[in-house]
Amino acid sequence: MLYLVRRSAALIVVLVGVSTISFALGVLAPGDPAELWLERALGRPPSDSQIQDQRLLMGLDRPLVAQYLTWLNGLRMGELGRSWGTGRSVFTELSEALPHTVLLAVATLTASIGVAIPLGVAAAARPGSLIDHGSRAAAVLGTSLPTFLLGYILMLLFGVQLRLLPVFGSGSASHLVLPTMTLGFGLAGMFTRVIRSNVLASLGEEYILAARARGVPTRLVLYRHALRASLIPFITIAGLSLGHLLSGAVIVEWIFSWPGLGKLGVDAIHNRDYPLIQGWVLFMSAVFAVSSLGADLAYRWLDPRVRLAKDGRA
Amino acid sequence: MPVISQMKVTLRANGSLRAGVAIVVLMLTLTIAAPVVAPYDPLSTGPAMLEGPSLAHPMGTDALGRDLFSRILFGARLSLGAALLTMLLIVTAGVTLGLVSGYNGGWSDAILMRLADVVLSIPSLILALAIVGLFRAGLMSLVFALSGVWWVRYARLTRGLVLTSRERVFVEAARALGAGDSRILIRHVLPDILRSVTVVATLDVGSVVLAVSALTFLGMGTQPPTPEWGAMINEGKDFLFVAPHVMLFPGLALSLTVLGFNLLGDGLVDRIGATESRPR
Repeated sequence: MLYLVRRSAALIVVLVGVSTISFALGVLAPGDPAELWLERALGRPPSDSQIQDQRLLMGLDRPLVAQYLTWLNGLRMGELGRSWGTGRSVFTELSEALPHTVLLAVATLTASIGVAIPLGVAAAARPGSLIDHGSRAAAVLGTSLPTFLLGYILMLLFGVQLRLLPVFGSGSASHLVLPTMTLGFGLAGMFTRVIRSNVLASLGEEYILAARARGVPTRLVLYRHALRASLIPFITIAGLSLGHLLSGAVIVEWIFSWPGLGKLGVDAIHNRDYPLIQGWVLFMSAVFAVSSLGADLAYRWLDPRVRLAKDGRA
Repeated sequence: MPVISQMKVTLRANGSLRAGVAIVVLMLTLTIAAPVVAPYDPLSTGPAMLEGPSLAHPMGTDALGRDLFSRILFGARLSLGAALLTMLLIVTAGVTLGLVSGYNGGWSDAILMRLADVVLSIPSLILALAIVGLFRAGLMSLVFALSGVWWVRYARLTRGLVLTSRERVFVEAARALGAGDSRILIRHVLPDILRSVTVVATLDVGSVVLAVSALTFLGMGTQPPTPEWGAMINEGKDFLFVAPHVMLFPGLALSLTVLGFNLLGDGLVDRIGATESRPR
């Protein structure tokens, strides 16, 4: 409990820091926001008096500290301003895109773990075998192949040559397949290597020898004994990959026109939609921080050794 | 020449290091020799548009009839140049700040580390994207944006290494001999930690190359006629279904380069791991 309080306090400090950075981005960005906004709204260069009025309206004449405090105060209520592009609340835009990104992320994690577990265990069961070498090569390839290249190759292969899957947009389960494969390829490779080395390490433990001596079949030894012990450290790795997943989602969503947070952010940047960009940075960091905390808590919950040792109760 | 003979042993012993060195050397040579090797001017258009590979155009032509092979060769100069410059800035800034911060401690150290916490809590590609997007798209602002978010890891790493290094006997000995702080830092602490930093940096080059091209792919780098790998892939995507080679060849060049740097880094870690376990 104490741990949870401490971590949540650290989370708040970090989020205040991130919100300061996203506020600073807006202040430091070249160009007068009032002028930029008017240009967009009027469709022609605004007059000086119009700019003056707009500056007053946006509160840009106030001291920076006051502007910053207003920004922070707004954040408390989820108020991130209005998108210049659509005129809708930035918070609404972001929270409407969030479920799509969560869906993609969960599908990707599930798929890559689903591929990595059997492959990793098989590779550990027979080091030096074809599966072992093959999965190693795939893992190296996975970290070297840019997601945008892989995405288009898969699009070409499954969408055009084989005509199996839709290549753009969202709406059905089949729309999810290609983005998930693109985003999951590198992760699956990395996960396979981690599971392989963890299982290989635990195969040397005495309880494995004991299980074998009792006549437990190899399959059960691998999956019930060796794998189980390997899964706990694996959760940490999966937690660490969340940042990679969010960054990767930006590119994958843009390629496949998947209406999630990543596409929203890139479109906002192309539109020079300042409030949306600022809100996006903050929101992505919050998603990242909260999910990292979640992974951390899951790890502690699953492994009583960590939970007890760090709370000083052991 | 003990270093050379040591290197020979390394190269023979370690397959991935050898393959990595071969790929990286090949790519860097082609990059430097681009004006000599390239059969055409990368910007000159021709009548043959979106044609597949042929004898005249080994990698085919793009939508404006430009020779893809020549564009890829010249593109390497910008893509790899930007990545290596970014790497240089990251390491220089990170190591300098980490050194000073770790050695001096105090409030400047505390501020730097809190800043590091915050920057690290924003996924780096996202922050870099927002910075380039809000400021000005262009290869140089891209380099600065990436360096701005990436140096933090090196500052942290260096600071951690300095904290152990400054307690070592040779630092005490140097101080006893009357060496000042800056001399101790530069002549004693820096050489001690540089090896670990180099290994980490080698492992990171591939990621930096990928990050640069991801940003240029999203349109944050060069403007259209300029050849650059990420931008070329972006231009090629419009012809994906009619002429996939326009996108695939720059993509392959990029992947091969990243693969080379990754193999080099992995091989180096294996090798250092083998020597590190021997008592020094």
